[in-house]
Amino acid sequence: MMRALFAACTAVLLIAARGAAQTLSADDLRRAGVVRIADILSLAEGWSVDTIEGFTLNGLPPGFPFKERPSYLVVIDDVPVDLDQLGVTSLNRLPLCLDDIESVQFESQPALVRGRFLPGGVLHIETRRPEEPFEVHGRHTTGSETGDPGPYQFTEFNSQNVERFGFDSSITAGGTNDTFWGDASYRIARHYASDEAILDRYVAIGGPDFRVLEKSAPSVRLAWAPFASNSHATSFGRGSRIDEGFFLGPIGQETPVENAFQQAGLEGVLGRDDRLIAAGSVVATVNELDASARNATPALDWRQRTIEGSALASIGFGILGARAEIHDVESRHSIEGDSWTSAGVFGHWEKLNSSLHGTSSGTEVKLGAERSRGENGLAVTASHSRWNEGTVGKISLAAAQMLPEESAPFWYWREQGFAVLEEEGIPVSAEGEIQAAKSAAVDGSLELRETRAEKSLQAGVFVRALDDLALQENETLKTNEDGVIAGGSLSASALFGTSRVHAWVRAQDTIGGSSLFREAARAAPRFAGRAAVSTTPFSNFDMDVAIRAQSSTTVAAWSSLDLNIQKYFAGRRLRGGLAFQNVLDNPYRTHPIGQITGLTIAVQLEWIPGGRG
Amino acid sequence: MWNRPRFVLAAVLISGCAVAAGAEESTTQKQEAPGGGDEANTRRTFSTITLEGTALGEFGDDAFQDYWEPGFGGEIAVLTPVPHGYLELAVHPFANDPTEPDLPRVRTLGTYMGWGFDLSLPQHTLFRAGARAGVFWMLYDETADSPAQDENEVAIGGRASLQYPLTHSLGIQAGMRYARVLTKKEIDFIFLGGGFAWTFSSPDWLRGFLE
Repeated sequence: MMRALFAACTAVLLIAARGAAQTLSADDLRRAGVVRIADILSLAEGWSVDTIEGFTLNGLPPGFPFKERPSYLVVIDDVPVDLDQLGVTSLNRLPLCLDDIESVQFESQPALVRGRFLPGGVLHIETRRPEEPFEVHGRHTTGSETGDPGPYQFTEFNSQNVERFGFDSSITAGGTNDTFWGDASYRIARHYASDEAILDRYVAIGGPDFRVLEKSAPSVRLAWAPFASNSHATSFGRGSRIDEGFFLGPIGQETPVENAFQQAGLEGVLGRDDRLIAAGSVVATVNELDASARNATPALDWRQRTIEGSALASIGFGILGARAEIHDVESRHSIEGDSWTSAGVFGHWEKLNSSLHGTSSGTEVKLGAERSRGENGLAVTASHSRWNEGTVGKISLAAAQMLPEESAPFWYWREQGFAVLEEEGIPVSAEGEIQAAKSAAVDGSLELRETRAEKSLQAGVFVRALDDLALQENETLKTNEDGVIAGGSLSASALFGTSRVHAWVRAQDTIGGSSLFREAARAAPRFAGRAAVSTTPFSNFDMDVAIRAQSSTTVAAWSSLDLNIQKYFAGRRLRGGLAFQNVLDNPYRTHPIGQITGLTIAVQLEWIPGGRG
Repeated sequence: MWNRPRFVLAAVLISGCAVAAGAEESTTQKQEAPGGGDEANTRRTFSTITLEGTALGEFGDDAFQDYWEPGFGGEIAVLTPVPHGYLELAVHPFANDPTEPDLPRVRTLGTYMGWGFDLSLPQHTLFRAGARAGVFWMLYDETADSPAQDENEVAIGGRASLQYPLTHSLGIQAGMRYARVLTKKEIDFIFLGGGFAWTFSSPDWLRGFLE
């Protein structure tokens, strides 16, 4: 739907008006050596990432460093994909093949999607569509971390075998003609969580072979586009299933689960002459944390079904829409089942101005109101941009306020989580009434960009005030925690011949608030950054060198030098990639009880139809 | 702390393209018409294939060599020119006999991809150097205490050699190879040896594929 909306306006101007959005193309992802979908979080400007076992990556957007709550939303082709499970948004659960991604865009500030407020931002994923009558796209990645015992296993120097990362393979077949297109894909992956730091826990909860995490993810899409203009109807079905160790925050350890996600839906867009007229969608989602057949202690067993319907229509200078959701949760814990409905309305207005002096400006306002489980929510975001030919000066402001703080399901899940704890004999209490929290967030950013010489410099600042947060302190959930977080970012990009240099740094800190608020905010580093040099020494050969670094959190400061080399063959139909992560083998961990990461090497082979790599 | 050999390797890889800019002429490139600049580089890219066969003996003295005695092996390498040096694929099998009776015999196969550069020296001699990374495959023979098993690990390394032409396309070469297998306790190999180098024009189908 949003794609059609963008097409209705001047694309460049609207992109400029989107403020802090960062867009990465499929080529950017390949050059950077992304081997699994969740790796894209490491490329997101201002974000920090932690992981326990190397498969589930927790992304913390700038300005919202709080874990165990859904801080950002994933949107695939303008359809929200509610991945959140007990506050964990694991991108590797996505029923999507990495090679099916056309582009990703990070909206790293408070945002509204169909009236739903996201305090950390939005990750938009645009998938590629078949362009030939029949085409096949496939990819295989395999890799390993160094440090096996090798032949020394027969000597006094024997040590633990190191097996991760495993493999990740996918294949997609599809086709298109004048009015129809469709594709089907399947992804299978295996990950070895064999690090000494976590292996004993895994063996204790899941048996001796539990370090092997396996995933499968099928997907089918069919689309009908009967008119030449922006009208189409798309039906889709996709799912993923992972046999994994799910880290349950309140317990502080993993529990074996069969983690399933299924989504099916139908969306349609009616447009004319490159202008959006109306759009609508119905999407059904099933999110599960099933009890594993393994020795599960404690045993999670959840199933949440959601049906979401939305419709929007163009009203001249903007769009107006409505959304309704039906949720149903089953669990064998203290609360046997529950269901609730949510409803909301949203609006989106934008205005573009041009002057005779070549200076243009754009203003965008989004409004959302929702009601769920007896609580009312209201949010607004706004941005303003100005630019002229050659040098782009861009100022973007966003302000958002949401009531309640987070979506109601969050608190529902937390209560369910506590039920599990109590069943396991772990006393848990809440200091104050657990209720739909309320918060207000204000986010502002400033960006400057100069593009004429293919160089850019961007600066951003943000201040966010958060009220009535509920934060966990040991076994107690404390409500009404307040605080203010401020930060800034700087990024620069320049092209030198066939080499591009891109670097960003982000700083943030709490400038007020309770001690618990400050402690919780330490989950994200005060300073984080990434610098990369991407060069093409000769045709169809790319080399990307990047250094990532962040200051200390609950873990020590760390840095990693990564090197990715790729070569295209056969008219860019075949791609071979070699990715070195942590080239200097400088061991680091990103989570207090997580793996220690050393030099890891991954090899990729990809077949790209039509040489569109 | 940073591992120094890997730091050196990283530095070599990262700065490689710039360092190799001085490599103007090589055995892998000599069948191309003379020229200069980017256009000539583009013409030379993948224009030739150099096939190297090298007999290698191991002369390292590390912990691994206390337990196993590496035997002679042969390396086959395929090289092709690119604008800033050459790309290389190499395989190197050899066996390692145990020095103690309860240890298995270890058969190994090093498989590498590499990048390097050539420098022309007086008397038509060519100096060739490069960095490599790849997978080191290890097969452990059955012993009284353990069944046969296999394992693989990442290896990095480098090479340096001197080549002297005998004919327009055939030459002899001698040099050294270094390989570090990145096991928990790393294994260092130092190989010395010599062999031949045969250079021929790339078939059109192969050049088309590589481009």
